[in-house]
Amino acid sequence: MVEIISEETARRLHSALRDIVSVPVQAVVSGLPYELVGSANGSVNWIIHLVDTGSGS
Amino acid sequence: MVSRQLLNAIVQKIYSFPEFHGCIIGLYGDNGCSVLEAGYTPSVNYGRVAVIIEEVVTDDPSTAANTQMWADTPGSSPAGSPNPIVVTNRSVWGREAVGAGLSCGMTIVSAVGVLGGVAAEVPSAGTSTFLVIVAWTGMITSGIQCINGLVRVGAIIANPDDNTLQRWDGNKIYSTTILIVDALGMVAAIAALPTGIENLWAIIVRQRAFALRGLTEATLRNMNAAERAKVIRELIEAASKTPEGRAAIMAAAREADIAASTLARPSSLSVRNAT
Repeated sequence: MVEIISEETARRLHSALRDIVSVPVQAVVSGLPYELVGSANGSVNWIIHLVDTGSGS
Repeated sequence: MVSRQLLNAIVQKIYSFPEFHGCIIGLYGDNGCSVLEAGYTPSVNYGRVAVIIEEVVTDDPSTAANTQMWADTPGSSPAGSPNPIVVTNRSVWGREAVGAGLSCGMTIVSAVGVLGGVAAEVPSAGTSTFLVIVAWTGMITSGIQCINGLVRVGAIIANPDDNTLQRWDGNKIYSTTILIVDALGMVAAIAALPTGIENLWAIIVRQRAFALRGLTEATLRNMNAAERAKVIRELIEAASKTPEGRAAIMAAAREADIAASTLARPSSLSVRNAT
């Protein structure tokens, strides 16, 4: 039983970490410029440009 | 209909540019296509460059004014006019391949999380439904981006010298749709983040609690029946919070030859079976 708990805990720990780490990774990819990541860039990059243009004007 | 005199003037104007001198000039207008000038065979542009003149009727005043401005500017582009640059598919191959790889990689990560049924530790029915919706939204939006990336790479392979992607990106409906899809994915990911952190913290705390108890076969053996039953009940409850955990418990029970009903009464479990 202890062994099962250990395996389960390790699996859940792994899943929870993956779920958490994937969020900033997704945000970074979305924020990178088109020149680097092509179509994977997206809304975060759009917001960055919006803020950048707003501060520049 | 454009007069022959004006067409001749246009041909002379076109031939005045060295890049077009002697090339074939076609006309698309007056309800038909025709060769306006066959070109000069000794010219280097003959067979290499062709010009098509298209006669269009426009009712749009801004287009008409724009066209008139271009017509009135002698020999060059009007000041401040855009300089259109054709971006060939071939030139963006690398970044598009990276983009498709990243999108599809994130889709796989999302799919593993969603289809593996590890959205959370099921804190409550309402929260659970919310998390399932969020997780599926993340996976679907990620999947759309993956397909989009693959289609773009496919377009590059199909027509490397065309500017398909530049034209697609110039399409407001397409670019806005993809932007919204990405935004939805980001919102879903951020919405799930607090629960994810809470989930991770719960696992760490529980693991530390178990570690502090120092649960081994010997410690279980030293407990009385009531204590052992309590510990085993807690262990079973902890492990049964996900479908995989429940399946593992049932499998272990089958292996140890314990009836499923016995698991509901942990006090009847022996130390041999518990470890």
